Amino acid sequence: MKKKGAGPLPPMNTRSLFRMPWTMADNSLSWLEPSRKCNISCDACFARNDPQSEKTVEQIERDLDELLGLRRCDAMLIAGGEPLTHPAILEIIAMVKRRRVKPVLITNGVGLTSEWIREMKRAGLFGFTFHVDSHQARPGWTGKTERELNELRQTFADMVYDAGGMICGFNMTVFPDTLSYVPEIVVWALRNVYKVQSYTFAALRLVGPDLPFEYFAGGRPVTLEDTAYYTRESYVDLTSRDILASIRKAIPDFEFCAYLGGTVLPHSLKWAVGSRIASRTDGFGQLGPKAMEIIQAGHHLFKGRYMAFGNPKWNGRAKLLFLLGAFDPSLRRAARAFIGKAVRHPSLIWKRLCVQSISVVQPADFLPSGERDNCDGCPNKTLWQGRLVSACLLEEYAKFGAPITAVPREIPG
Amino acid sequence: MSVQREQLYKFPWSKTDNPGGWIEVTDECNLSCPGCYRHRLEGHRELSQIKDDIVACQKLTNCDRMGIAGGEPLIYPEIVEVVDYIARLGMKPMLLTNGENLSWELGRALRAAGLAKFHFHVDSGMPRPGWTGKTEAEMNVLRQKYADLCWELGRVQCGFNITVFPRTLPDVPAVIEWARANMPKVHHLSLVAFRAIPLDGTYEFYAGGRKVDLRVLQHSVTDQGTIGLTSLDIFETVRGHFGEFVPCAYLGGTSDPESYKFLVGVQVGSRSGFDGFLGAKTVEITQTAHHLWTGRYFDFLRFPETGRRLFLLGLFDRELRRTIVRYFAGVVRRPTRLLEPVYVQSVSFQQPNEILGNEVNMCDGCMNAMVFRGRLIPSCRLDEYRLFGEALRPIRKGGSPEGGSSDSASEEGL
Repeated sequence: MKKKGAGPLPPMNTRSLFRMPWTMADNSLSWLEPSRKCNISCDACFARNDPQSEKTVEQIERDLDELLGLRRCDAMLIAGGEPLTHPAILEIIAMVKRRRVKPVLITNGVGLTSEWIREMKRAGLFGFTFHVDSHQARPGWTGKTERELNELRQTFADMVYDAGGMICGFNMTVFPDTLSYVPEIVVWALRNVYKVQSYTFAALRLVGPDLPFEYFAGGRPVTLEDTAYYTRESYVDLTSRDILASIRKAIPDFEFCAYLGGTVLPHSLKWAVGSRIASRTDGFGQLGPKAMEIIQAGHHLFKGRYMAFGNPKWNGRAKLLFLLGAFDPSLRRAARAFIGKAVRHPSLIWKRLCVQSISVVQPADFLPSGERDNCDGCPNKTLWQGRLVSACLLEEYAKFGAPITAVPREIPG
Repeated sequence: MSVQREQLYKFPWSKTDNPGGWIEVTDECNLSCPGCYRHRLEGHRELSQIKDDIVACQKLTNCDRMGIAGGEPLIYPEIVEVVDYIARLGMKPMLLTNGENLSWELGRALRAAGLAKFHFHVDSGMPRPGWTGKTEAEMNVLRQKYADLCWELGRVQCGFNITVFPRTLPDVPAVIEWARANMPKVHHLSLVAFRAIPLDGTYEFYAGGRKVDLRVLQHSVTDQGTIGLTSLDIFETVRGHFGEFVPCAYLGGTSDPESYKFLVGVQVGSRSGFDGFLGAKTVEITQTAHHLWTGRYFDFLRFPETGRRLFLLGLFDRELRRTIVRYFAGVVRRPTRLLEPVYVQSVSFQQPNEILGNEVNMCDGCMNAMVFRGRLIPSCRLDEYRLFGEALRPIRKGGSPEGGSSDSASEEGL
């Protein structure tokens, strides 16, 4: 049976958070898929591994221009599939960079070498988001726990750090059996605050026989059994609040500062971010909603786009953010904590402080009525036949030509 | 295309951080307009229920103005109390009315209760006693009457809502001409493309898994090809007449981001004339600053008389700089203009829902969302929820089994 999310639900009032000003046509991010081919297979992947799906460079360039014609964005996530399997990946990075959008790779990192990272940096790569978790069939790493995988994360973080001048992020799909490892990963990430700029935890979403729906696409009944995200196993539907509770085991005062709500349930926490200010050894609190608002609004006023990732050359200068404490109580608290500690340990004044963002994602949910609650202001929109669709639903458009509509087998009371 | 998307500001509004909220006090009306989407099912609502929904809507949307609509809100007996309640909660109450029931006394009472704006629905398609058979330009006489009434009441803004049909499209420039001649008195024009649900057999409609018969939606269905008008058609007509007309901001569609669901141009001028437009940067700076200071975005400012301090923003906004130059050229010709207050007047081109393929293309950032049984829904679809329990899902009939054709369907839908 599908159960409600496990774990305690901390109180959450999204009204106290900043609603990111991101919309369909004016967002921080977009999503580009050079191919849907992949060199490993991960549980709960929302894309089918399709070896025939590799696009030509010309095709990708057309997609890119069309996508940028429909949507302003600060960064382009080059994803897939596994983007590193594309032979022209350097050219793809360069074409994004030429259009003054920050190219960021979402990759599993399989086969990545330091030399390759340097080449991509020369091509204009802004940074990486590595997908690493224990539900991947990764050669040499199967059967490892999330704790043991921190070693692999460290390898990637070190390689990117050594190449210099790029951002490094990680993401992980959270399963019921890996939820308890979240605090350890958070602690690892904080220890690497100079090297790791962002961490994303996404709750798994699958459909299975337990769901009380019949499915339609474009008016025709369809079966989901041969889609990438169908499972016969029972699973627990984790929510972003479950993950938040788990993060708080590592950082008791962790708070989100900004969020995106749902398209149906306005206050469901579909996407949320909290940004810590820390040195390698000490945390000093986090950005509050006002600080995030000023950063997003200021970036849009001056650059014409909402900010996705901060420039790596500002890494380590988070002390400047304390100035925003004039408007943001959370940063004022952080500044006080820093000064308090610096009085006792004056050497702290010379230490670098960094910002590290922890994001939590709760992908599309089916509600009892059959309606689907997606992220309102979805950052991961991609191009499909001349229009924008959510990357996590692309499979449905590709397979059925339309998004899936769920209809309850029995009318809910 | 005369609209350059990259030069426009996309309003940062979302479901939970939006300047607009919406409350309906009654579904009764003293007129019966073609294309109206509201059916008489419940009559006047309980005041306590209305108050609960207002509070819930404010909490859910973080809104700055609350639109009071219906039905015709001025036939609701406790309308003054509703306005007062909204104003006390710190929002700007705005009434959407046909004006038929507005007397001087009622106007005074509403203003005293804190009404911020009247939004009059006046167009030639309405079966209004004494005003049938008029052209859209002739309806300016009635608009003038309401604008004068608001001006005499003082401290209450005046906007107009005009449903545009293909046959009234050529008259739209005359309405804008009239509004420009009334800069101090008229603060907003909404030009809304007529929409209805097509009943030509192209689509079937489902709710909760069951097919529904749409003939119960008597007013809002049509068999005629009158529903193809877009906001860009209206804009092009205006642009054809006023070559200098520049929009500054917009909302796109939820399914088709290229559609302009809500396209706005803001005119600047004073009593003796119109000077020009605001650019995207001014709108961005004012929306952003309002949100930083008050925690909310705004639909309209409390005072449309911005004065010349608005011109300071010309530092950042090229379009506004052009306006300022024209303004001072006007002052040179006629120095007394320096004594006249400067006003802004917004003109919005709106395009309600349309069906694209198997999806309904809605406003991305809808500013007229309302609470219905605890849920936030777009007010234009309320009757789907009231009659069928949920929003209708259109299914294009005879959809082919291959993916490709569904997109060509959406092209046709445009």
